[in-house]
Amino acid sequence: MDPVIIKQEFLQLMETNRGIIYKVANSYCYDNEDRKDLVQEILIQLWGAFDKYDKQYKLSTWMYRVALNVAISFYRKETRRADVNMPINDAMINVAADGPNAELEADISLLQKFINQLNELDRALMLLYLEENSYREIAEILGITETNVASKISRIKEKLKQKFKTFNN
Amino acid sequence: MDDMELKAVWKAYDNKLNKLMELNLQTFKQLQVQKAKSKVEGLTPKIIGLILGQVWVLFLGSFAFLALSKMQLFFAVSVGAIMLITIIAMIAYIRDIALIYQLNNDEDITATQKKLAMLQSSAINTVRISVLQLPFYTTFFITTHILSNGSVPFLLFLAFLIGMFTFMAIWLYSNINYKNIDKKWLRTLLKGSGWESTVKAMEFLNQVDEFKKEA
Repeated sequence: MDPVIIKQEFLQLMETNRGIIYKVANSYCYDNEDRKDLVQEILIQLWGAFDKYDKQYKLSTWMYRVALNVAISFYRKETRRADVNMPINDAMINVAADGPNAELEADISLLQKFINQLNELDRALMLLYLEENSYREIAEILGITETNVASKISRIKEKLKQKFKTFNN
Repeated sequence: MDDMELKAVWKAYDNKLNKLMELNLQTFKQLQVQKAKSKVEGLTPKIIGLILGQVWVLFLGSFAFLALSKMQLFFAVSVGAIMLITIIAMIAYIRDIALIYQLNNDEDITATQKKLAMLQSSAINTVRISVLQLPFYTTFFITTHILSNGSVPFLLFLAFLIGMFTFMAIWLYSNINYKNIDKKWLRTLLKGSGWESTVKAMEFLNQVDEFKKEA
């Protein structure tokens, strides 16, 4: 196939599925400038692996694998750790604390904060779960069994509920 | 907060993100060039390490050859063994470098991250193989003259020393691995600058194992 067409197809797919890239990048990188780098890095790696993408599998499964692998590696890079380990500041937590959707905004910030407190792999698991991927897809993306996915999700969800409960009381 | 509420909050977050972020596809081409360059730059210290390793092997080889020509057998065998172990450590190092090019980000997360962390902690493999050299540092000065004329207590001490170093080398070879990174002795051994990233990679390997373990 013509390389120009392949690239156009790729860019079209990325535009349609950009939410996957944003959410993964946002879950592993808090600094605005670093996040832009991470988004670009994910795009480059997706493009690099695009010729090997087997269309009989779901595009989202492939995209999550690449994006999460790049994001986790990025997060673990020592030079970035100082930024990543910074506690989430108030500005990030209290996004639009007033107005008609104040409660929802507060919940979004809290959920984001709690997820960011999970370790790299649990965070990936929770992200995939909240994105409504099936247990089978999550297991395929992460390389663990479906039973393991189910028990881990249940445990993390319980922790999250407890944290919301404590915070709201 | 129940399951539905949790997912509703996530959905709202999704909508918010879509509004806030913009995918910059314009700079895409330019960045591809930059990344290709940075991958090569990351290899430079490893290639320098390999060149230094080769120089060390050549140096040891010349010594072994010289000792052999003068019939200093213990010296030649000891230096030869140290050289051989250095070569094995270098081969393991080259294999790790080759693995960098086999890493696939489209494989499952635990497999890719484990391979990556293994690579990041590969310096520990070089140390692990290198400790096998230890006993040979206690034998290179032995000569047939010492063996035939040395006093019994001295020879017993020598045998004890060789035995102790051999035991220590085998023990360290078997126990230096990421599964023992929480042990105090290994932490002490890897204390100091230059080992932080290796220790972190070893800790992450345990985290991956733990994650894969059925609950």
